[in-house]
Amino acid sequence: MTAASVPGPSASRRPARKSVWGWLTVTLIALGVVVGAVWWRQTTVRDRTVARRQAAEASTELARAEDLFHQRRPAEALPHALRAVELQPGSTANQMLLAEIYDDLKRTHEMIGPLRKALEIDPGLLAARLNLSYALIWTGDTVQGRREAAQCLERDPDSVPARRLLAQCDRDDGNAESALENVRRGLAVAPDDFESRLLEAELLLFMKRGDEAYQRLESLPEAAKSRLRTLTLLARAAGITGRTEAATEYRRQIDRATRAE
Amino acid sequence: MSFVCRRGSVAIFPWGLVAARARLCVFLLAAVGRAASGNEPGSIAFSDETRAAGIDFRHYSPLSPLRHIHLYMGSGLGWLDYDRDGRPDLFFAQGLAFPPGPLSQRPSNRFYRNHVSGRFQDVTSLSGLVDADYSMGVAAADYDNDGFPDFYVTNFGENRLYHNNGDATFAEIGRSLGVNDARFGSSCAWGDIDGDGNLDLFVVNYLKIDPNHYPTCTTDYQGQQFSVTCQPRDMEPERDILYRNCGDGRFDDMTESAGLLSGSAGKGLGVIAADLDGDGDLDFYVANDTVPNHLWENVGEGRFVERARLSGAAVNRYGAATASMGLAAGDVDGDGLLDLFHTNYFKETNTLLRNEGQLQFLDVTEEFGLAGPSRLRLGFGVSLFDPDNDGWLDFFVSNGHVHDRLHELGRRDEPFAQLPSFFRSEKGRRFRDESNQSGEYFRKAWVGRGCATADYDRDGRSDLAVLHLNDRPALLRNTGQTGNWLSLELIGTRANRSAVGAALRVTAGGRELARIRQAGTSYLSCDEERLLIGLGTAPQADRVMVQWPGGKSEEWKNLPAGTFVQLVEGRGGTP
Repeated sequence: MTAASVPGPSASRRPARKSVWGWLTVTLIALGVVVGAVWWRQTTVRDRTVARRQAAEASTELARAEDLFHQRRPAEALPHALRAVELQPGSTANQMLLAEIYDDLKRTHEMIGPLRKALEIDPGLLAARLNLSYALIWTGDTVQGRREAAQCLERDPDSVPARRLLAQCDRDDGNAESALENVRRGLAVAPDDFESRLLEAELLLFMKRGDEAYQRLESLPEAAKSRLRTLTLLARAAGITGRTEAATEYRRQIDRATRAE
Repeated sequence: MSFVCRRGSVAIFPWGLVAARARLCVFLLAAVGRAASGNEPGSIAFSDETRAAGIDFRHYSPLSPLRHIHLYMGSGLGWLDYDRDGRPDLFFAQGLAFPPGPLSQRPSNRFYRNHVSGRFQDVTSLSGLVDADYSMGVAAADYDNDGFPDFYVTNFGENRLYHNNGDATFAEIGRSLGVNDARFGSSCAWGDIDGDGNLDLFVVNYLKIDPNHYPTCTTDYQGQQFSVTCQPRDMEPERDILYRNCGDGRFDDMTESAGLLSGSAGKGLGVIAADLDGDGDLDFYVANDTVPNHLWENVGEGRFVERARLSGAAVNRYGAATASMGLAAGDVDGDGLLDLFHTNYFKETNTLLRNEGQLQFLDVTEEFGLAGPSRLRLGFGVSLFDPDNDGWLDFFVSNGHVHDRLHELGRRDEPFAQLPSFFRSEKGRRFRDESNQSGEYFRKAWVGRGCATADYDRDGRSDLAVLHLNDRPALLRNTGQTGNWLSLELIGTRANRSAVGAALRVTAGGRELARIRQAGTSYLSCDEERLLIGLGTAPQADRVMVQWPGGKSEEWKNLPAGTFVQLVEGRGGTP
């Protein structure tokens, strides 16, 4: 016996049941789609609203942080910058400001995290890479610091800060000659770069070329010479090269500058 | 003329010492055999032998709820061979709660006798050294030239001078001699400032603190008040003291007549007595906390002039006064001039000052590779020594913060306990951080304070002892592969008997090494009196020239590596 030869009662009802179940299924699916669509739309709207709200809040926090930072209140700026980063981690501006605040608070090693994140977001951000190199060198990691500085130079062969960072790596690794060469390549591009001039003088002093260091420092513009770091170096160079009177005079200027600070 | 395994001219043999001497000579002959094979300096390794050596001291300085600052400064330690058996014994300065409990419950300083077996025996009570004040610094030397080392201990309270009676006991005579100043003493150093053969004493004081009106500080964090240690920069500095040893059992306070009251007071924590300008007399360099360091140049006739600013030793390369703690002096670059090193606060970097001659110093910390590895550390004790015997001085630095609750204030990046540091010299050109490769001790964080070196097992390798705040100390035995060595004991006859302040020039393997004998260094601590000279692969020191305190120079020739030698003033040749 086969189903075809002995049609039973069920055989005659089957199409009707199928149709009911089919309609039910279709209805449910349709309902699901509608509910899903509504839910999706609501969620998207909500997410978008939240995102918009977060972006707005992040902007507010960033603005607050920037404002406080520019008022030289970095400790107060820090929680706002941290909140801005938390709300909008994909913003390079947030990450960069946080790094800058850390540096101002002399928590330079803590710059590394936000700077790395900024570079993940935008690998071409030269300022982030330069600062990352600086922070790495500060912590003693000249290997990675050198790598970041070299990448900066690849992108911008005339970058004086990158050249200076390479010079610092050389110096910290005990290669004073190479450091001097790097710093002078930077000075060839920007002869008045203050930081490079000081680094050059420091290297010359270290290499026992005190007279040269002194003359290079003496030739700095007056405004640069009156800065505390320059005065300290000038006093050192003068003392070491036997210019006792000049050293004493620079000490006096340091005293005045220190009192003023 | 050399004196290998011989007493030399000073014939003082206390109880049973002859036998000990004989044992030591046998030991030395074995050491000579080992050295003769010619050793290559290799890896650095220190093994923590504290427990095995039987040292059960534990520093006690419970941190009070109000965070009183002296409780964080900790204590130092000192090596001295008190029984003249040829092995350095070990003194630990002990802390104390504040306010102190009943006398009977106070812990004491501890003194351990070094046995031939490698074990240390607690002889605190036997030697009469039980004390119950908060002790800070230690400096050992034979101030009365009787052949036995005495020692001075600074306290947060009345300082002590322990006279060695020569029979394995000490007598406290600080009060009777008037050297018992009761201010906040920190480091101290012995040195003969006028070349009269009597050791004078420099005592560094830290802050003006009246225990009855103790300044305490709080900070606000997220609306909550936290008690924290006060910032030293907001506290009053205390003046240092210089005592002149009259040679007749009296000490005169010559602080004022010496000119030490001129200029501003420091907040001193470390001191070095050394001839920094090479003019034959002792100068003092003082590490001050948050204010410029002092360099007191000895200008003769018992007078000193403060020259730190003019010499470039007051502040770092950026013109900033650092929070200086521990000090070391030595010729790190092999140019024959004494360079200076001081440990500093977290994020300041330690500072290496290269001696440029003419009492001029240059901050070369970065150039010597010491800045990066020390920036995220707070350094206290420092030992400048040659544990691999390659003839180049290396650094050990004990680190640890002065704030224990920064993590509660959102500052997890500045831990209280920190890893110690070991910096190895690359032939005097720069230093390499080899902390990770120097032994298990270096892989644990400690709240490090004082440290000092000695070859305590007499194997020709410099060992270390480190004191940790509220913790056990570490006796670190040098187990590394080292070069050849020469162990020198200097005995003054016209100069002070401990020969403190003597300057040595050792010629070996075509190099000339400059070394000095000091009594008081590091942070609150004191190295052993013997000088262990690393000779590298050289089989002998071709020449050892000693400039005795007072100016007279003598030389000894062809001293074989691997020997313990006494150089007695008046028995050398004329250079």
